[in-house]
Amino acid sequence: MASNGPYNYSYIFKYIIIGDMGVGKSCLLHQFTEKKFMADCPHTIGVEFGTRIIEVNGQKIKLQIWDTAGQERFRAVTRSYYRGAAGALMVYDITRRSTYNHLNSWLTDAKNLTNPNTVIFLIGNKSDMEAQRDVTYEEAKAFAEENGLTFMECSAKTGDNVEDAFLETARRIYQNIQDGSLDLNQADTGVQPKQNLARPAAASGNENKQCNC
Amino acid sequence: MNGILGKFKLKKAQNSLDCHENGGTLDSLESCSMQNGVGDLEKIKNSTGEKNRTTSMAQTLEETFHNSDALSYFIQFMESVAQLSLVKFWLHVESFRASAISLTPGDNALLEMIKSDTSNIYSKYICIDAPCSIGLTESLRKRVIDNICQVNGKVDAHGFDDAQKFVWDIMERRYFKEFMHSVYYAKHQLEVLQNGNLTLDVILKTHSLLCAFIEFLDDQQGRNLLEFVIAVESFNQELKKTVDPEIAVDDAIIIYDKYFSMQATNSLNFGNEIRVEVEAKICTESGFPTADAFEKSQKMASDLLKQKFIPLFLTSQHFQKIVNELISAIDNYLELPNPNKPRTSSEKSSDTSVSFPSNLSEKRNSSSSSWTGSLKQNHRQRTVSFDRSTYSRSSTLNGDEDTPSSSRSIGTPATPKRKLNSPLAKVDEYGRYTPLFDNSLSVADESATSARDRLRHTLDEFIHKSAAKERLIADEVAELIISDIQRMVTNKKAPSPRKNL
Repeated sequence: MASNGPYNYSYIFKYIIIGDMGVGKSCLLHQFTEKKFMADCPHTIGVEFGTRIIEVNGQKIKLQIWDTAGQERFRAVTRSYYRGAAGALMVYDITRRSTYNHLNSWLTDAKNLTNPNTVIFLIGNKSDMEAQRDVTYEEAKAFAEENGLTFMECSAKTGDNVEDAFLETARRIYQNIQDGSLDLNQADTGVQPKQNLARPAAASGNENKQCNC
Repeated sequence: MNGILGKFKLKKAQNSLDCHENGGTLDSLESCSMQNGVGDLEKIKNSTGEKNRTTSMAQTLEETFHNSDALSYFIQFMESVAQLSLVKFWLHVESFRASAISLTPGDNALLEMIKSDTSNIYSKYICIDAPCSIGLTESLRKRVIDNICQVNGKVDAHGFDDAQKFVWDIMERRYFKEFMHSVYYAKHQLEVLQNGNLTLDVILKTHSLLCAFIEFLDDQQGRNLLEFVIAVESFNQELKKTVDPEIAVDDAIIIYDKYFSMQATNSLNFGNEIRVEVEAKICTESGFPTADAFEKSQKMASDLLKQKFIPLFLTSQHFQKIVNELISAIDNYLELPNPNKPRTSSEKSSDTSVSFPSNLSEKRNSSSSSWTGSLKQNHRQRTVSFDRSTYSRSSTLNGDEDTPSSSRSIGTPATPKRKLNSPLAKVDEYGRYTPLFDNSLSVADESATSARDRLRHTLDEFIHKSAAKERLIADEVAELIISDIQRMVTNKKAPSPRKNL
């Protein structure tokens, strides 16, 4: 039990999942945290959240993922959760062109309401429904590149690429921390805790620094 | 003193106009003279031109829900006690209500969606075998059903409000205090402290910060300002309750004498204009000092503290010490689940002592309690003393944190953090005796009801800490010596590197 204990991680990264209604945001979250596909998923009322601990570069990281409602009527509520997100997963449905066309508006929101260093990841969901495809991989890839986003097609139903999307986002966030582009002394970075990085020398009682050379 | 009493009698004889404001002005006082939440932070931030919103420290459940960093810690905490459904339900009802309120008549599509929301929420949280049951009482559940099953096919945007309030109360009364004593809250505090955004309000409400601040303020002007701010806070609280005008005036005059009068022992040097204004507000037609008698001067004092002294405090070693203590306490906590992990010689896990060490949250229990009232409440929580070094001490929280679902007893009341069978005192590895019952605040003054005695008591407690300081320094020296010796002994045991050369 101890290895699954709630303290066995070095950081928390906060994610938000945004996108049109019905693209599969909640299913993606569910697939990632429960490894199951929710066939009869009711629409999200405002926000939902889920957590899971992953490992990146040898570090255990807890992801606290906020899944927002896509419906317009909840927009005021969901907007307040953008702040303080380290990663934003922007989702569209490859079988419905309209959800792809709305990406610009989601992207604007994401860029305005989150930290400039927030990692934004584009996900084309329902990749298992090839027959009904309405958006090609190439055009979405081009859009992503134009806007500096990472892109992956996933399927919440089969699980294809779902883990990778979440993990890759975490890797990029971690990279930003390592190379200093994410200044953890600022507020609302979506990364907690911060003290593990800037450990002052005075707290040396915890470490057994015995160098026998 | 004669001068002012003379004026008092004079004013009584005259017909001077003075409106006597009672009641709710304390809130306005608080909000203008002390930072309180994001509103004032915005003002300060705008005045210094900073763009990024810095995190303030959440000290109530409400502030926690409005503070996204604090909320994420609270969520983790609730997860650890397996009560996450409460949070989720509360959030869902907020969203539900926001959307349902916007319903316009005739919008049937939206109506259908809202109805489906209603039944989703009901079946997820409220019905008898709900997967994320929030544990409503039978009568509450019936009330929710009545609200949401409307015969005319309409929806009640406020249908879940009662249940939501019920859940809020549970979170606030049963879990929030525990949260404030948990490692998650400590992490939140540490974040705020390291943000460099410390408000006077937070300092005043956080015991160990306040003591460190006082020690830092060895400058007399600073001390006067701080004492004055505390005294006025006390006075304002008392004024609300006092019925006897003479007592109220007496108390006001004590403050006046000490800080404003021409013969003041601790003059704030705020100038004649302020002094005259204060005099007028103390000696009023009605006999009671006005509620805003010290408002302007309190604001000036706290502004000065904010602008001049707090920034310096943040770079002081007094402050850094608190931060280090928090860090080390958090780290210690993180190590606990592995009892077999070898520890360094200087920190051994001692007994199951109670509250989270070095936690800064010795605070008010209820948000509306008075300043001095909170002292009385707080002294019950000051089990392990705040000014001890934590390097040699690690403590556990109640119960076994590894298996939150099994050992966390939901019925455990939050306030008495000691188990009934825990020892009354402990002796740590340095041979120091620490009582685990609280005897630090003598209750001899319980009977003293006047603000004057309480005032004096408060000030005594905060200001005259030299004995504690000496003890602390002695402790630290002792620890240094002992760890030196231990290190020497340990090194001697290791194979001598010189042999390999």
